[in-house]
Amino acid sequence: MGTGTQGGAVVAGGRRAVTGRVDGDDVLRVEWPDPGGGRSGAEDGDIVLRHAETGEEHAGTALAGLAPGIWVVSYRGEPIATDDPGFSLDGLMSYAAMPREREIRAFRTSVGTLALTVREVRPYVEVTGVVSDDGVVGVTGVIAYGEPIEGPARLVAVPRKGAEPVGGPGAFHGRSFEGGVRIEPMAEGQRRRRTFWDLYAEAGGARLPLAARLDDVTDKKTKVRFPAQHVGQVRVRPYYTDTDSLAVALTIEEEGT
Amino acid sequence: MKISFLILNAYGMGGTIRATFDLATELSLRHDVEVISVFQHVDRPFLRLGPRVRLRSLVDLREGARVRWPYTKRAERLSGQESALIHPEERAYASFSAWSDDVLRRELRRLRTDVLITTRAGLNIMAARFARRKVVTIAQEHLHFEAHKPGIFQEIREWYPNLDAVITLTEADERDYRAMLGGGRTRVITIGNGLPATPRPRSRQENRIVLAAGRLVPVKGYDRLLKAFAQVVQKRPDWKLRIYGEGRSGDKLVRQSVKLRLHNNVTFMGPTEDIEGELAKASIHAVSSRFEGFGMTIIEAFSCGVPVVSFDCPRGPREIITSGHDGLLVPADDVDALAEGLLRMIDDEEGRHRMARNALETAARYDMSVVAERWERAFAELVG
Repeated sequence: MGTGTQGGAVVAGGRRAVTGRVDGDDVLRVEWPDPGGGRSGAEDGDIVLRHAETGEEHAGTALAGLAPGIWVVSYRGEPIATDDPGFSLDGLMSYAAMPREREIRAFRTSVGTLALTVREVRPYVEVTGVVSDDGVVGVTGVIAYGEPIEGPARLVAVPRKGAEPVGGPGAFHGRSFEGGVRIEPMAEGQRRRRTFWDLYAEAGGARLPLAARLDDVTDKKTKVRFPAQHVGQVRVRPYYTDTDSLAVALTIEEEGT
Repeated sequence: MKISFLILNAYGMGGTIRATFDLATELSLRHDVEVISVFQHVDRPFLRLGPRVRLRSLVDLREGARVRWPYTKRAERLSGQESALIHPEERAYASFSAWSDDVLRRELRRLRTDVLITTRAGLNIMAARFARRKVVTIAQEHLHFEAHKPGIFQEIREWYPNLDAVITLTEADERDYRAMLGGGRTRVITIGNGLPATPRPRSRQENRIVLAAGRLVPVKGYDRLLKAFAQVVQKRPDWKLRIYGEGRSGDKLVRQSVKLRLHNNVTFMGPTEDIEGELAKASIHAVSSRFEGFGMTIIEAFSCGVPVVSFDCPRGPREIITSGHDGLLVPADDVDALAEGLLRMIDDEEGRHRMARNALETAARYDMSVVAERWERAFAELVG
């Protein structure tokens, strides 16, 4: 075992793990196939992480305090090959249920080895659904990496330039958020051909950004297309930005377009 | 034994290239194997080819490429002219020219090898016409029998009897070719594509994701998959569909998806180099094709422990999937039936886990070592 091929590359993997995941306490849980048919995690002491950019090394599976970036996981000096896609939508959602400043995820690289990605996080609302119909942009979501909130809230659209923010009613129920904003007031003052509005969930004077990050889909800007609506000549379409935040683009459509 | 594969362009990406490379790589463990690419447009192949396989090309399309003396002038003159040897109905006709005719004919007339395996109709016909008599000629058909248009079909009928064997991907194709070739000397044998024996990621059946993969073209039936999935999300709004691939229908499909208000549930993921890694994140693979010459992604899905819900379209799916055992076959072209099949697979979690386990066993039958053995048995019969 140990030599695999994927996508034109060759893996010189060492031991092969059955499972490689980060649990809620930021501990890397690696399970090995066991000749007896069970699984054992008894040999985690030989696991070393290596930062892909800086080369910094970290021994063991307790991950608190890891620097942001990609960490390659090896066992006795060889990268760990893994069967585990290292990916669970529900797992990412429940991991984000706790307030955190750092997010650590395990993933299987395209060459079949186990790696971790570490990034700094701030509380935001993970978007679970967007409605773009009937003159409203509506959002449902879940608080990620922050404390739950209870009570009325607002969905606020903040223009990147010029105009005043526009808000609409919403509510937090623990982790869940829902809110909507009417697009007509956003389009009313439109003078430039194109304007961009960032969306926030607002409660008690604090604004949480809206974004979709609790999955493995990169570059949502090009992969997700929301329905467009029109206010006169102005086309209004929600979109994901380069950082997967939810925003709305307003464009004055010229004749014939 | 020396084995030569002749392929249109080994430097691109696609099912035929992948299947050819995987087979060549496996055979190279025991034989002297080369892949001859009619065209070359980049320096290196996109897909992986084993280190023991030699790769060469006949017509270099890279910028600045020069044809060596004494063919320089001839190449210049003929490159601008249409091919006269390849039938205009060959799907890749536009790639060929009078110059590629010239080079290909010369190559076939002088090629000394034990077995020549050609990989598409146009090349199969060329081998039948020009390969040396001592060379065992094997034509592989990656397209299904009825996919050929009448004109090229006439050429197939005329020239295939010169070949030593036609290898089909499905038994349905085997029957059709056998009927066409009558009782002639050409053998017809079914050998499906194989999966290289590498470790694979495995689905934990934990993500509510349905995956579809393949070029975004009408034959893949994604328009119908979107309609079916719109029914699925009415009942199971927490399930997502991921479609991998790109193609000329892409924009149209995105518009359809928006129109069906599937933006929260369907993502067009673009192409991936690691389809197995993506499959392993999913729980169900959907096949909505109008026809599938074979259905390699079905076997890939199986090998990652992902059961398949597929239209019972011609020809591959029904020969690979045992409905109720490792997947579900639903009546072809029936959108409601596809939606029902997906919902059945979604809701029967226990059944899905069982089918996922069975799928792994089915995939083992397509292990490359098993498939290569079948090829070697065919060589032994034909060369002997």
